[in-house]
Amino acid sequence: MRAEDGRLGEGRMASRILGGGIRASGAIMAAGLILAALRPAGLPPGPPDWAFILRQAAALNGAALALLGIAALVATPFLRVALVAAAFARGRQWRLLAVALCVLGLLAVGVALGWRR
Amino acid sequence: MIPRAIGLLAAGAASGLIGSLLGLGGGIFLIPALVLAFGVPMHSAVACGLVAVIATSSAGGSRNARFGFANVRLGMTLETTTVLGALAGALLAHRLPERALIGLFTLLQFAVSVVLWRRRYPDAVPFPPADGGAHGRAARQGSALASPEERGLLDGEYYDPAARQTVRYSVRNLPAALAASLGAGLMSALLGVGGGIVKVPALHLFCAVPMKAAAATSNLMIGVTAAASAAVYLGAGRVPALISATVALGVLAGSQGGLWLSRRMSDAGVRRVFATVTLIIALLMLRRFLAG
Repeated sequence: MRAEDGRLGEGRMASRILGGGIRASGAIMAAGLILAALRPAGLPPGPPDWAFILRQAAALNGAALALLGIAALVATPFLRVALVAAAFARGRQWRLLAVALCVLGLLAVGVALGWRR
Repeated sequence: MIPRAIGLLAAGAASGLIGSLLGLGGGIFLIPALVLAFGVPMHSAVACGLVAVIATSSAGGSRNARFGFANVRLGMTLETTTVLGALAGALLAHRLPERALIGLFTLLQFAVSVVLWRRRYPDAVPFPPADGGAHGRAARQGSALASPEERGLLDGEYYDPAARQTVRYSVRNLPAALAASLGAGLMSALLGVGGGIVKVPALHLFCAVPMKAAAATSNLMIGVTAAASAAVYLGAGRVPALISATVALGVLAGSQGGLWLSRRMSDAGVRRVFATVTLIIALLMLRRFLAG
C-alpha cells in the first residue's frame, strides 16, 4: 500500500468513527433531554450502576438516556485510537502501530488509576 | 427551565465554535461561564467541560480527518507524550504550588501571543504553485515533498479552499512537538485546560505545520486526553447528565459553525484570532495570579 493511500484510509477511518460516534451519542442525548423535559425523572447520586442505567433507559428515563449518550461520546475517541491502530496494522505501518498501542496502553493505565482512586 | 436550557445550549455552541476553529477544547471559556452564569458547582463544571472538549474534538475531527486538515499520524504520535504528561500531572496535581504554575502559564501565553502576532512560518508548500512553471519545479525540487513515496511518515497534505490550493508540509523538529505535548498534557491535568493553547503554537512555530493543520491536529488530539479524564469522572458518578448533554448538543452545533469559518478564513486570519484569544486568556490568568 502506498503511503499516500494509507494516509487517506486512516483519515477516512478516523472520520467515520468520530462521525458515527457524534451522531449516535447526539441522538441518544437529544432523546434523553426531550424525555426529561416531558417526564422529569432523576438518577440516584454516586457511581453509576450501568445495568440499572440500561434498565432505566429502556423504561424511557430521560436522565439515564442522557447519561448513556455521554458514555457513548466519551468512548468515541478511545474507539478512534483502537480502529486507527487496526488500520496501521492492515497497512503494515509497524512503527505507527507501536505508537498507537503505546497510546492505548497509557490510556488504560490512566483509566485504571482513576477508577482505583 | 427552558431559558436555562437555551442558555446552556448557547454557551456550548459558543465554546464549540471557538474550539473547532482554533483547535482548543473550549473548556477555558465554558467552565467560567457555567460557574458564573449558571451557578454550576466547579467540579460539575469541569466534568461538563471535559464532555464538551470531547464533543468539539469529535465533531471537528470527523470533518478535519476526512479532508486531511488533521494529520492523524502526527496526532497519534504526539498523543503518547500528551497522555503521559496528563498522567504525570494527575499524580503531581496536589504536590506543586498552583500559583507558580499559573504564573508560568501566564508568561507562556503572553509569549505565544506576541510571537504569533509577529511571525508566520513560511514552510507550507502550495501545490500546484500559483505561478506554475519554473518556479513551481524549483519549489518542488527544493521541497522534501516531491512525491508521495519520498514523503516522511508524518508529513501532511490538504486542500485549502480559502487559498484555493493544495498545501503540503513536512513536519520538522518532532522532539520539540513531543516536549510541547508533554507540557500540554501536564498543564491539562494540573490546570484543567485542553492543552491546545500550547500544542497549536508549538506545531506551527517549531514544526512548520501550517496554522489550519496545527489547529485541526490539536483538535483531534484533545479528545483523547479529555476522554481519559472524563472516563474517571463518569465512573465516579460526577458527570451531571442533563447539563452535560445540553452543553454537548450545543457544542456539536457550534463546532459546525467553527468548521464553516475555518474553511473560509485564511491561515493568517486563524493565526490572528488565535493570538487574540491567547492574549485574552493570558490577561485572565494574570488577574487570577495577582489575586493570589
